[in-house]
Amino acid sequence: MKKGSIFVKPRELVVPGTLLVQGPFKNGRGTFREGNRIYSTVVGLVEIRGDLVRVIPLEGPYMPEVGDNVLGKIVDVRFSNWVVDIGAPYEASLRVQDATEERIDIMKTDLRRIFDIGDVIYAKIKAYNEVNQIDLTTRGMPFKGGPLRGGQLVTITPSKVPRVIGKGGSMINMIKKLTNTRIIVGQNGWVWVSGRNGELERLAIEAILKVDRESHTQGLTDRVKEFLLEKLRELKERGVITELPKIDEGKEGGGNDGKT
Amino acid sequence: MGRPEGLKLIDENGKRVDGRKKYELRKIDMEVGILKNADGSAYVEWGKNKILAAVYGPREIHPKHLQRPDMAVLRVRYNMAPFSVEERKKPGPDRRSVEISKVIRGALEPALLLEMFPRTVIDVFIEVLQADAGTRVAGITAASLALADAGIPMRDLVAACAAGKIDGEIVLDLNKDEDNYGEADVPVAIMPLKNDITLLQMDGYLTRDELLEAVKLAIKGAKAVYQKQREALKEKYLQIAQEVAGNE
Repeated sequence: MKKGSIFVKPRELVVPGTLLVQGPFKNGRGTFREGNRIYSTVVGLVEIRGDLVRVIPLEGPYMPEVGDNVLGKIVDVRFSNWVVDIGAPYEASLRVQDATEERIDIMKTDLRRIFDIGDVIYAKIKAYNEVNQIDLTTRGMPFKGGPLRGGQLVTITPSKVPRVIGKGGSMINMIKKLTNTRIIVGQNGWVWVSGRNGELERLAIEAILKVDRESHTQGLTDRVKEFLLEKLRELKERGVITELPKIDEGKEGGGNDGKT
Repeated sequence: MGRPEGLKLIDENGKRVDGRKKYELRKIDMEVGILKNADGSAYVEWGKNKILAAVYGPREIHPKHLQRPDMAVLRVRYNMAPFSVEERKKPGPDRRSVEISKVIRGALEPALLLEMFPRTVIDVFIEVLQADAGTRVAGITAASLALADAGIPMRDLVAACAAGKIDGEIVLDLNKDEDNYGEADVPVAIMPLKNDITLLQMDGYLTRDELLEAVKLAIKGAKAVYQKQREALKEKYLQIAQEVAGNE
């Protein structure tokens, strides 16, 4: 075997212990090497790029990476920092000096006035070190990192976040536009959805969960669009919304029989 | 020992009490991802055995002194429901279930890449809802599926199966009557990729040759189980894909 051989198709569904390739390949995430053979370690879809072989998991915990924007929930307020749950195997911490631009005198300020237990924040992973300490920062984040009020938090598998966002944000922008909601997607698979209309908010969540569930299939964006439009038409008939949101393609104009 | 009179474990046609042949497995059904709250889960029906496995983690370990700085800790709890056997079982861990939990942990540990999650714990719960001999091998099979479903990196799935001796013959996969009135029971768990044995026990008396034969037979059985495990893991996603294709 000089050139090496590939035993799987691209995007094939594999389970742990499946032989993927043999020969001069590099083993990426979701794989392990034994001699010159590479096997998968997770349930997922195979991706071979050049000589790099990896498996994109369909389930699994969130592993933090520096620079990730994540959503988190405050679980404790300490003397000079907050303890934050970001859905990783380890708790994250947010120090006072990383939370705000202005200087805070911790002797005189009640930290709970900035973030209290249960608040949802939008933060960036500043450091993740060898002893698995995760440091967050909310500096320079949109709306000062939060706390995010109203809305709902949904959790999806972290490896499916790119799918929910779509190419250049196509998927998430479509969901936002059609349901008229504000959505923040954290790299950790936590998604915050907020809309003025409760029904539309629920619809957006349904769409996100649909993407999460069907992430390994083809033609997902079109299907989600169809799904949303159908539901929107239903909502309009029930009088929850007066007009279907406009999208690029021509849609039937529709009379105004809704009651607001 | 209390064997009903005239009970023959193998009849003149070579059939066993439940009509199986000597080297035949019981009917096995597996399903993955059936508990919403768990990170990974699996349900296995193996003959009359009904077993549920759930995996939580990797997550922070409490009490803190149990944590290992170089790798994750694997905790396994094997538990039988009070209604899982004919005579009500007193709830809670007993000598038997503590030991089985321990050997199952040993059977699963070599398959996991625990060093990827230092200072954490991975909890595996195996609940036997209905027992009919061979619950530890069915439990290992279910737990291994649940671990894969939780997305915990593994070198290989762990498949398990038992063989035993009844009426002087070595047979595959004993059921309750055969286990109670037979001569020996040999549960075996393997990682099929490299034929590593991760669990091997023997209850009863066998000669050296009989033991070897039983182990070989159990490994064969476990490999059949392995194929079913792989299919069950894929099934969860193929079903969704099919559903989606059907709607088009």
